[in-house]
Amino acid sequence: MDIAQIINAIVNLHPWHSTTVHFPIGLTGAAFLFILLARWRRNESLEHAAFFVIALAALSTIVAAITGIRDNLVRFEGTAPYVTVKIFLGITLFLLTTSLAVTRWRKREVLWSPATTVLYLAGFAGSFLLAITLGFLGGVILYGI
Amino acid sequence: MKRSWWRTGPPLKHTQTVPGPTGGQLLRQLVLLALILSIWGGGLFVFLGATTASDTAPLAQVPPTAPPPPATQVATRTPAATTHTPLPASTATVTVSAAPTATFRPTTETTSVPATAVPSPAGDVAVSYQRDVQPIFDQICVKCHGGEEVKEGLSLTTYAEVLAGSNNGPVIVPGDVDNSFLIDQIVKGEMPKRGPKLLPAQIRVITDWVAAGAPDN
Repeated sequence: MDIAQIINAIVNLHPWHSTTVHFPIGLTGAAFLFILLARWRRNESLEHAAFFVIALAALSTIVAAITGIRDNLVRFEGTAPYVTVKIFLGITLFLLTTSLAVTRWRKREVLWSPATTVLYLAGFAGSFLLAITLGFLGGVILYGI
Repeated sequence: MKRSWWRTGPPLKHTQTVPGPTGGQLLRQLVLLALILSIWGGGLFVFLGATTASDTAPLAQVPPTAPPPPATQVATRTPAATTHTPLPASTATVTVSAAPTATFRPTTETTSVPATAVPSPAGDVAVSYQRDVQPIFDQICVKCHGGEEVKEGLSLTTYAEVLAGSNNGPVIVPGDVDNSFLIDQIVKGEMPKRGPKLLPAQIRVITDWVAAGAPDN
């Protein structure tokens, strides 16, 4: 195995999406856990952690989307199964995680305000659900159902 | 303390005494949540309804008699072919993986085949059962049809077994793509039931092979 083979494997051969998708899944899951703990324990540090993690999840969703488009074109000739569903859910996930991060950034008390706490928590739950649904569809593509 | 851009700042004084939402606040948020979900669900329904046809079109419209992709075309299009790193001209071979037209899971197993495959009268490269079709069966199908189990009595491990068909009769009618059950199943995505689905290029190879009369070449 020489360096050219390694580069070729990384650039042309290996799928990237199956690696990068684990970031939004893990980050949205961690954010959901942190926000639940924060609300339960009334802990502002945990709420900060949730904010940072959901912001990172939004960024990682962009990376996952770009690699997903690349893999679809390179490995499936643009005809990967469930591609439209995944695009729709992926866009939703990006918008949701971004909205959560921006909302928290602009309104620091969003978790603690009784008027918004349920919606805010539901947003975290929804983003995690979306991420694992996308992961499930990816599993169906790879391993069938 | 100065508030930083991420607004961590001083601790919120009231977090330890923050009350839960009242009934009215809870109801308002739940209604808003239901509204958002309804709009989103409607959007998903409309989006899927508008795109389902285009989603299935590529598989359903695989031309039964489409010419097999020339070797050079494959080389630029599939990850498998990208492994044909320049070799010394004297070898006159290209390195392709086991499934030459589309490897779903690239392996390091490689075989050398002549760079100049047998051209058809039309100038295209003829599909070879041994070189092109059997590797696809081996990679995708034999786990259930010919490996540890032979479902429905169909084994796809050898040419003779492929033509012999299943318990219900032949699955391939040489030269007749429309009446070949195997083609019907893979085009519709019914098969394989488990594991990775066939890629369009792989379906094309099998279809072309059947259309060419399913030769044992």
